[in-house]
Amino acid sequence: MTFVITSDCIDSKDRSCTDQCPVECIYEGERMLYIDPDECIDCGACAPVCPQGAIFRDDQLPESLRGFEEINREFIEAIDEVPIPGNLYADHPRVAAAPPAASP
Amino acid sequence: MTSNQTEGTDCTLAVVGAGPAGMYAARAAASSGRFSAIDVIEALPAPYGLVRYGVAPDHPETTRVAKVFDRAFDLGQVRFLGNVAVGRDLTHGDLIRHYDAVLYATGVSAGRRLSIPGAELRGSVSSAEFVSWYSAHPDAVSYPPLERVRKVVVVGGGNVALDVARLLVSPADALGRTDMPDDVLAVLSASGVREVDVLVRKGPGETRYSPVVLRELADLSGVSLVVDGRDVDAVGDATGLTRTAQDNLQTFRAWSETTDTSPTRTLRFRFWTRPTRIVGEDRVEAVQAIAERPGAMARQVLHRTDLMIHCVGFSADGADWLPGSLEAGVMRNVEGRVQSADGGPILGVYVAGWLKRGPSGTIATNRIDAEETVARILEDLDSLPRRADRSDLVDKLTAQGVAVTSWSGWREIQEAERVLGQRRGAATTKLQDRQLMVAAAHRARESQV
Repeated sequence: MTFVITSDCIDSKDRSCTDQCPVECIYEGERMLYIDPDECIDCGACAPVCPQGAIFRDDQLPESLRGFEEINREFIEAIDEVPIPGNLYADHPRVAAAPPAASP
Repeated sequence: MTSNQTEGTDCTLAVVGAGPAGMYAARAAASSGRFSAIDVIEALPAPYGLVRYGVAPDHPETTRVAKVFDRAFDLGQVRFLGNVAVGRDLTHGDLIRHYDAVLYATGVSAGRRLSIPGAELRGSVSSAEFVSWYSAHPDAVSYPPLERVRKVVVVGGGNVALDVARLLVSPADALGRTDMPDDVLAVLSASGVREVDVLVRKGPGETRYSPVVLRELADLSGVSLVVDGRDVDAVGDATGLTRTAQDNLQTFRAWSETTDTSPTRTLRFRFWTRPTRIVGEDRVEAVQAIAERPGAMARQVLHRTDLMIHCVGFSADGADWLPGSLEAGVMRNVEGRVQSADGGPILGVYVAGWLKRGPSGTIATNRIDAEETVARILEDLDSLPRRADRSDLVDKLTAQGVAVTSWSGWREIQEAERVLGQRRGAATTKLQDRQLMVAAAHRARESQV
């Protein structure tokens, strides 16, 4: 079980979740944040603090956001070295190609 | 690297307390590269504080945060000195003689009770006492006689209250695979508890429960969740609430609209209810409270109960071996620099975690908190008076006859617990007895020789 960050994080990146993660498994792309599914301990501290409501446990992902499970995993796998919290990495290609989020 | 920093790498740090705050502090200090030695001194034979003795046993995923703490000990300069209690085996004076800086992260472990008449009656216990029991703390007092208990009142609007209430209504077979010791499981299996009432001072739109944990109560088989719809309706406009509060309100609303037909156990939330007195001859018989739902007349209510568990916080009161002074149950400090009673800083002495800011936040709150304190230590380090005694504290402790448990000793305790767990099909079962833990840890030392 893991938590997954989804589309409402794109172009928002509030980062409140990173302060809540006890294992620092949330990493930053240019346009959104991603959770390392292998490091995540499933504690649930991140989800309630996200002002966008963008974080879900994998078994509670809305059907339309299912693809983000793969997006989070593949983003982490694409980082060559050991990822460092706070560093900026290239987005998952599907996120990089997403249309700009409408400003609130 | 400047010459100051080169000098600085000879510095030593004692971290007292191996809970989350102490471990995050040790990790931050180690990664600064400014210390040649960091000793994590822990009163219990096992590390990780509330991760081991506070996180509910049916939520083992949270305990996996330990893997981050394990890594701190893999860094060469961090040592674990378990089974060493400041105030029992050594003094604060010993620490400042042996280390350049001392950081206290011993938490606030004294359980508070409501200060109302009757709080001292038999059957009125603090969450600290109850949680210590089910999490197999070596110093826990004997178990509550749950086989004679039918009804329990739990007071509190935080996650501890939620954990305690859940453990009391959970079917015993669901707990068999946790790391609880056999005698704790036996008591819970024989439990006569049928009803648990959670009394919350505020409304269903103001709770701080972790939303996922609250929602998951619905997964417990045979448990009926009861919320009065009038409590939910009285909340009114929910737009200004935090996301956590809104999530929880939604959960409570759903529960208020359903009724379970044949429950084995009932878990009821009573909001806007403030206990005023515990009634009983020589033991708890009932809790008297004022129910003051907005828009309704306040009324006095009486809830019969066999056991009352106060989940209303903790304090450091009673830890008279601590330097500095306590204020509102925590150590007087500025950003982690410990202050004396008259307000000046006590040089070289620091604090992190609950002892610094009080019992609040999640595990990760201690990371940010501990990193702040370590940043202050690093600022001060070059100007601190150097330690007077360069000998190894462990030699002094060993000469005193203290059975220090090392990092490899802790690994040996874990191995013993794994073997114990396998006998009943659990991944691990905790050793509770301090002597057994120390003996298990000691085997490592013998096999190393």
